[in-house]
Amino acid sequence: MKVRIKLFQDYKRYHDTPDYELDLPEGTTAGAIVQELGIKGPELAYLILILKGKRVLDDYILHDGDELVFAAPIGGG
Amino acid sequence: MDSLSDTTGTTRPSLQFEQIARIDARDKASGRTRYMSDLSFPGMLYATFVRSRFPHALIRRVDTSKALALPGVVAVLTAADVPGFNGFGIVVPDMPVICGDKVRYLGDTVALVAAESGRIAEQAAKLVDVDYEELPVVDDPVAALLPNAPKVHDKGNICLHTLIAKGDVEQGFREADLIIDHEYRTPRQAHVPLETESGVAVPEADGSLSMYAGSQYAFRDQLQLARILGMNPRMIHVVSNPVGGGFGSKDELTIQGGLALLAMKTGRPVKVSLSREESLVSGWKRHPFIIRMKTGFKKDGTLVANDVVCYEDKGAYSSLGGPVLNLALEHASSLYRVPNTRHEGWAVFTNNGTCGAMRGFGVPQVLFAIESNMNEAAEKLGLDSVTIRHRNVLHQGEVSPIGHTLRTGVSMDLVLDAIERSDLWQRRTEYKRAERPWLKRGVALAIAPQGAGLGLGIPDYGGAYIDLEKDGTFTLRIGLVEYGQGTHTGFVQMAAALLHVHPSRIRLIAGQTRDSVDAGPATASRSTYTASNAIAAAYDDFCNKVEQAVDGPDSTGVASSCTSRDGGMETPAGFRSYEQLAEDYAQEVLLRGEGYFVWPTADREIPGAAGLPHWIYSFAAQAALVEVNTLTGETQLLRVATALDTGCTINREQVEAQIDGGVAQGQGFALSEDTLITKGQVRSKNFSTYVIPTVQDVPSHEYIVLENPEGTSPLGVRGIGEVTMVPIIPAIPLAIHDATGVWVRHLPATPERVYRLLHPMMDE
Amino acid sequence: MIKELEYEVAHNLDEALALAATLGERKRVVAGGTDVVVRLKEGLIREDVLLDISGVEALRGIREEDDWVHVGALVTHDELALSPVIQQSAPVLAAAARTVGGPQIRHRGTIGGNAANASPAGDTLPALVVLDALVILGSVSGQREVPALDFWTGPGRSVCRPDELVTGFRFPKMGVDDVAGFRKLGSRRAMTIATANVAVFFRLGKGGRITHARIASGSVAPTVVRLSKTEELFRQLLPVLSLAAVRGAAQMAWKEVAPIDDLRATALYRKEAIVGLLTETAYEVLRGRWHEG
Repeated sequence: MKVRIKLFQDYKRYHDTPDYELDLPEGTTAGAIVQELGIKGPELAYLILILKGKRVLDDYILHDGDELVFAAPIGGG
Repeated sequence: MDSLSDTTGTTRPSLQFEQIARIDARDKASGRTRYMSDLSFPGMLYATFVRSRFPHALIRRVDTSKALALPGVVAVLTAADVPGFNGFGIVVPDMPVICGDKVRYLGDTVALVAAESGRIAEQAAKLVDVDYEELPVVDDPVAALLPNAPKVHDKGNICLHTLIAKGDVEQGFREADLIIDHEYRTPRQAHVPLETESGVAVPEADGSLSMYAGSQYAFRDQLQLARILGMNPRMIHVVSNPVGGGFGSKDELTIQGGLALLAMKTGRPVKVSLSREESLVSGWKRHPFIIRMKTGFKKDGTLVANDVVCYEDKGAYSSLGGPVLNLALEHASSLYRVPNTRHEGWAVFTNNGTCGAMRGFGVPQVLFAIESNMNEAAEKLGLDSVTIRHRNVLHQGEVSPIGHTLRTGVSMDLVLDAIERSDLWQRRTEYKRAERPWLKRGVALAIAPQGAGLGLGIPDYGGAYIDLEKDGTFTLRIGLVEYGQGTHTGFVQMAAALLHVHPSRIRLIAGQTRDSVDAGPATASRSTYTASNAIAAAYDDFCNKVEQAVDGPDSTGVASSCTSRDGGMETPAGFRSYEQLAEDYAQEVLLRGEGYFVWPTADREIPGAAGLPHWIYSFAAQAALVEVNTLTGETQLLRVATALDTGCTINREQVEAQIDGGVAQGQGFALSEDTLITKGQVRSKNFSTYVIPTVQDVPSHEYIVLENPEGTSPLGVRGIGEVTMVPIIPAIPLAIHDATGVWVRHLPATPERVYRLLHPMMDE
Repeated sequence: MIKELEYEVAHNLDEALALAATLGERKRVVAGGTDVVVRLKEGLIREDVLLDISGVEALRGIREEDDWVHVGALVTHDELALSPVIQQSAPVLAAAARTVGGPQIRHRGTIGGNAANASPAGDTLPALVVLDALVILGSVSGQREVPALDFWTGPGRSVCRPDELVTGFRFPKMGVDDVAGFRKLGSRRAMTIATANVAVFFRLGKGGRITHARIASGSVAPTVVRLSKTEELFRQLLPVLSLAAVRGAAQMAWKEVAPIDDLRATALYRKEAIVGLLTETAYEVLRGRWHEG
């Protein structure tokens, strides 16, 4: 299955491009991608995963066509 | 009170919003609402934050032994006791929860005390012995940029530098017939919500932590606390609603980190409610700006160039100072047609308190400068202030001063036309008659756009649930808190209009991580707009769920044929009241509509300016009538007309209330409010020296509400929370100019400042 | 944090005076509490006993005694502002009382407290001075009266001895030829401490000329000051309403005040603003009696 990954803010530096596609085996969780990217420590504690406006946790099982956003909690004005 | 409405239709024109009183009015007015400062738990301890004695110093040693020895003291924590990451900050977590090696302002925490009573905790705080090595105080944001300036942070004093350029300003100035070039200064405004920073942290039996503290975004507090405590965020529950006033002061964390550490350490609930003095010293403020703005005009008033440099006094820590600077730079030429622009800004660390989010978010500061330059140009060119603006306002489809194409609705001309038609503007000659020779009256207007939402580069999103309860009533769940704006009443009205039920049939659960849905922060004029989309999406999903329930497995689940009317729904099986639907389908399983929304954004970022551009704007124009006493310099704001584009009005009374409040806060900015800090020492620590307007000072109002629907909201709404305080800020000093001929370029326009402009030399 | 201290309650005047004598410098007198409680919170009360006189009936009330008005120390600012006697016989005092704090403070705060507190910014003080009021001081050894202007000796200081209490004030009623006014300069319309204030009293003689002038100003010196040279210039004015002439006379005030810089304003501004305040106040009180030339 194909899953699109979008990295925002500080998480951009975990990959050469902030917006890319992965070909993954069925049953892959969002947490597996987090681990794969090597996000750790305070940045891991401050990470949120968003799927079309919906917050998901790391046990979320990805589906074909998902667009998974990696971001810090949003703020600003 | 006069009022006027222009309606040009809405996106879902059939919707009727039941005009109701605020859903929280009765409980708040009667004192039944339990704010966080009203909470009490068995075995609760009281916290004191031991604050720094110096605005800038190294910490050599912290000795807590005497404090710990005081009977009744349960815990005294220092930096070494922070189990996770000792820092917080929405963007950059550079503010320590407890300072270990250095303090950067008087509000810095050097130790935390929990004791059996507030009195003991305060006594113990005095017994914490801190050995400091004083450092030179950095108190001038311009001098702080010099290479040899003492450093507030190891990385230096630059929090952010942004430069946005379009065209060629030098060429623009060569083509200009008139150049207006001035420096403007703005105050360090404090939010002063009625409820100071207050809350209780409660350790639960299962090892989790409940945090009850008024704040503007429970879901982000949860993660900031997880980072500090080194805990799984799922083990932290935040309740941040109700909030006793915010205005941006409770966007960032305040007391939550300290309370959480003390509660986890002691295993007991820990409470704090800051005194007003402590709140004014330690709390977030609006960034003071120094703005150098050089603006070029053609003879007919057409803008040709605007060169702007902003110095933002960041104070000690980042928080949202970067985004504030960038939003200011986005608006530094307002939404005027300027072919050549250069907007540069420096957010500079100092030891002048610490600044963060506040209503308007950088826009009030720069609008004061651009609107002042516009009026001065108009006067020098023999134009009136409406004409010069009409020559320059942008329309949908045009290119903004920072180079992006404005694709959503732009109402600059509409609010300008409306304010020109206001009674105050039309009859300004009559209004300007003063009764004594030393009293001079003036009228001036200003217009403002205000970027809404979080801008590009941030996944701005929000969700909402609509649950059908077993008795046929509804529960609406949404994260966005109510801190006085009236938004919760609006949310219920929106859901009621979509569902075709009376608002009293809907209960709202908001502002808590466990039982509501993450809808982003209640900031950036985004609550009502975000909610309109999330609630409409939840309603559509609810219709699908009803169809699935009625049709069973045959349902396609898309493009529901259900529609609501008269307290129920038209379904494939005929009309069903919500009571019937609940009876048949909501007894065993939850019948829930889930709605999620992602803000539309520009497809291209403004180079070098994170977060820019914004995609949707709010618009307002305001005219002010002032009376200046030329013998003393006192200025009274007598009357204000506001023309505001709501897109679509959900609750007229709340719109007018936002205007009243916005004008009062803008009036404070323009005339009296400033947190005075000298050498890092806060000198205005209470309401006798930090001067907010009283009910005796606020003006009479004329409301002009326009409804020019925002196409990206299914209900057509725009945010209005911030923009209602923006145009009034330039309008007041410009009205002082109209009255007396002097230009006020340093706000607030205190009696002494105005007097000194009127009487530049001693009059012996 | 409010420190722990003893609290003594006097139920009548004898008890109050006896306690004042016994406690002497150890006590701080509380009437409305609007100054004391704030100072307690700020740790500025060095005394260790509070003597509460708020229940002493004898110190209440406003009464007329022939050509004089007697005001008890416990009369509140609200009572002053609303009293028909004060409005009729000393409207300048009613006007000053109306500008104190907000409704809650005016409801609690007393004129005795305002005087005894001896703040240079006290709003009723210049009004008392221009009314030629006497401050009545009581003690177990008897009663004495001190002219208002001589009562204050510095910020927070007065001639009131540790064994004495301010029990009241008396002043002559204003007559038909008397005009007076009060004006306060603050940072907003209510709930504000005076940046400067001024009270003006004129007695008009034949043809409207000013025969007696009393002008007092607060927040421009360590105590309320009488502006006697300025008064002299007002006495010389022709009885014709002219803003320029009033301003010309008021100009002298600049030289008679000695303000300081503080958070609310600079000394220089205060000096200039007092001229403006006086101009405005004098013009307002004279425009009812004088006509433009």
